[in-house]
Amino acid sequence: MSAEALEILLAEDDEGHAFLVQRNLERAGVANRIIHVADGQAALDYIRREGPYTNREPDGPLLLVLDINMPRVDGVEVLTRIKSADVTQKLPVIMLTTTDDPREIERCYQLGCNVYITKPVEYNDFVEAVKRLGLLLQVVQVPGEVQVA
Amino acid sequence: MGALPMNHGRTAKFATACGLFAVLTGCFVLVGWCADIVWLKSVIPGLVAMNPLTATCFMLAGGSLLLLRDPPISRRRRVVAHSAALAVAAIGGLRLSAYIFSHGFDVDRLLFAASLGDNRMAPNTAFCLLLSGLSLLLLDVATRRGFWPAQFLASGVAMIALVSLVGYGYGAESLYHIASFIPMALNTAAAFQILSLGILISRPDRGLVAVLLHDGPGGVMARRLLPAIVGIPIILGWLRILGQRMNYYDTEFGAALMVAITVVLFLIAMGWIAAALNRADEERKYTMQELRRAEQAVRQINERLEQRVKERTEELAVTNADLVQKNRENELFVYSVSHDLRSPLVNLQGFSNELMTVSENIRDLLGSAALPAELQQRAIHLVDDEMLRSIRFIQTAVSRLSNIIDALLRLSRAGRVEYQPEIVNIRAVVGRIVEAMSATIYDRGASVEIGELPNAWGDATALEQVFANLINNAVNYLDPGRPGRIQVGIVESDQSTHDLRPSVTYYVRDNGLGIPEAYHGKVFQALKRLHPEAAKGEGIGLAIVRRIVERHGGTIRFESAAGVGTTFFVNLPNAPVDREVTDKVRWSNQDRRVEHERRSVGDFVGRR
Repeated sequence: MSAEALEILLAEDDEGHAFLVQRNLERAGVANRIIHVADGQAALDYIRREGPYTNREPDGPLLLVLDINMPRVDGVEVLTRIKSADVTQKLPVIMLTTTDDPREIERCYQLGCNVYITKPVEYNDFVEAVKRLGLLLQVVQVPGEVQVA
Repeated sequence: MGALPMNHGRTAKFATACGLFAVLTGCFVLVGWCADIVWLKSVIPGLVAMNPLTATCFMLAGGSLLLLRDPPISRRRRVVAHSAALAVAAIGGLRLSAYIFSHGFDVDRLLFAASLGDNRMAPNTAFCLLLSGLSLLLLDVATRRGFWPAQFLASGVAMIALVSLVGYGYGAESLYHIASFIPMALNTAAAFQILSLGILISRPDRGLVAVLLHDGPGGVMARRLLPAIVGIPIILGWLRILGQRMNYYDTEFGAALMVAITVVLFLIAMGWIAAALNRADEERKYTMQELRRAEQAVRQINERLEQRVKERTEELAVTNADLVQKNRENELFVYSVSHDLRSPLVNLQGFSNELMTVSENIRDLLGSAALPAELQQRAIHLVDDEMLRSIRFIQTAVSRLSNIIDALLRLSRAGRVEYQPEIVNIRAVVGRIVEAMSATIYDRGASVEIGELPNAWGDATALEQVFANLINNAVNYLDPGRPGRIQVGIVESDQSTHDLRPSVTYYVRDNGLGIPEAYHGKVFQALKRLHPEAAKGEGIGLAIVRRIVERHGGTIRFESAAGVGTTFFVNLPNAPVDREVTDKVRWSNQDRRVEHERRSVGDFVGRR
């Protein structure tokens, strides 16, 4: 399992933010494939291969980048559902949000997020976190999607 | 005796006088016997003289009364007094037994036997002596039922003496003259009368005497009636006899007349007593009624007051809850507005960074591209001076906006964060703050003096924020023109604080730029800054400070003059705060604050 095989699922309702995240990751040399979905429900569908993603072919391990404020299902909800289901609970998660409310940060860590990053992001920090997680993923066994299925 | 209540001093004096009278009477009579002075022995020549032994007995009895008149009485004194009383009773008893049993042991002839002639001690005198002696002996003895025998004995003496005295007054020999025996001498009767009264009055707090001397209406009545009840029948009787002797009427008519007048007079007395009692009772009833009415009124007023207090408290509680709710809504509003503003801001910041990167790339390209020199120059100028400059302006504005939003979020958090109250060592807190700022303080050439700082009661983090903000302000707004001096301490006695709960007033004083009078009203308003050039910041610090202090149930105020310096006074509780009191204080403070914060939010939204 190589780092290149890692896919990044970015759940972000703000097109601008999504663009900035992708652009900065690319610029920093993160070559992983980035899948962008516009809300939490889509993210859950993608992970579970439901709805529009029913026929998706499962491949490599997955890293989730979740915005907290999203319509329909928000980031915290996605985090909660992922961490409460056995098959998905080991997926690494980066929370990305505009809030620096200590209580919300605390809550996300309690729910099991790996990294919490506040926007407006210093993208250098963000890229650093993603890279570190990528390296980490090489050491730790990240569940591949085969296992998820 | 008047209607005045007899106090103890007066009764004691009266008893003393009575005792003295008896003793002196005895003395005079004995002197009379010694020197054979008739008027000393019998008062009026021709009347029977007092027996010398009787005179001796009066001296003994009078002395006994003098010794016993004023309790508490020492044991020795009592023994002497009782011995004298016993002697009197014994002499009286012996003489009486001689009359009854004719045993011939004539004690009354022991003294002045040579000059006594046929003078004897009369049987009624002997009886009175016996009673008087017993009365003095039993003066402080009560029966099991609470009667005082001494009073009955003395009353008996008084009655017998009165009979004799009245008899003398009416000229009725039989009244003082029993059977064929020698009569009781006039001075003997008078002395018995006085002695018995003295015995009675020497214990004014008991039995009949207590009733007479009571200061209630009964006592007053009794004292008023006493002279009439004693005097009127005596006078009436005398008048009757007088009239009869002058043959105005015969015995039967005289008796009828006297009875009738007595009845009428007693009726009048009764009517008077009844009227007085009725009046007193009515007054009492009226007073009671008034009292009850007053009580009723007081109760009603109290109830109304309680009702008012209750209503007012409820109103306050409602207002308070309302204000707390509004305040929370305001804070939530500020929070969500700030939060929503952040999202577009992320784009502004991110894309301005993108533009910056792109512009730099373009310039690099232009630098390396083979273009006509003039065109290259112009293009580079456009990118450098126009594009990049514009982007920098955008970035500055964005970062300023971001700071303001952060500040607003901090302010709303200051109002929402949960407190964990404990005893906070303010001395240590201030020490830490000054330590952390020591570099800045050194750079500004300032000195910080920390006085005595007692503990406060509150949330440690929040209170640290308070003092950090105040000291930070003091350091930042020092006057560069003079050496900075900052003092932190407490106000020893502060009249401006509420006396509702234990508290301590801290101050942070500087000799910095000061705040001109015109700006005093805006000091605690969010986003207001007086000296933006002196230090960085969004003007949120004092707004947060005030929010924290007031959430602690404390108060903050300041004194300042431009060019002189500023002192902030922070009053904080130094013991767990009584819930009710905090609410009250918080209510009054919240009132103003909510008013103010609504305005700030309004300003903020209006500016958008």
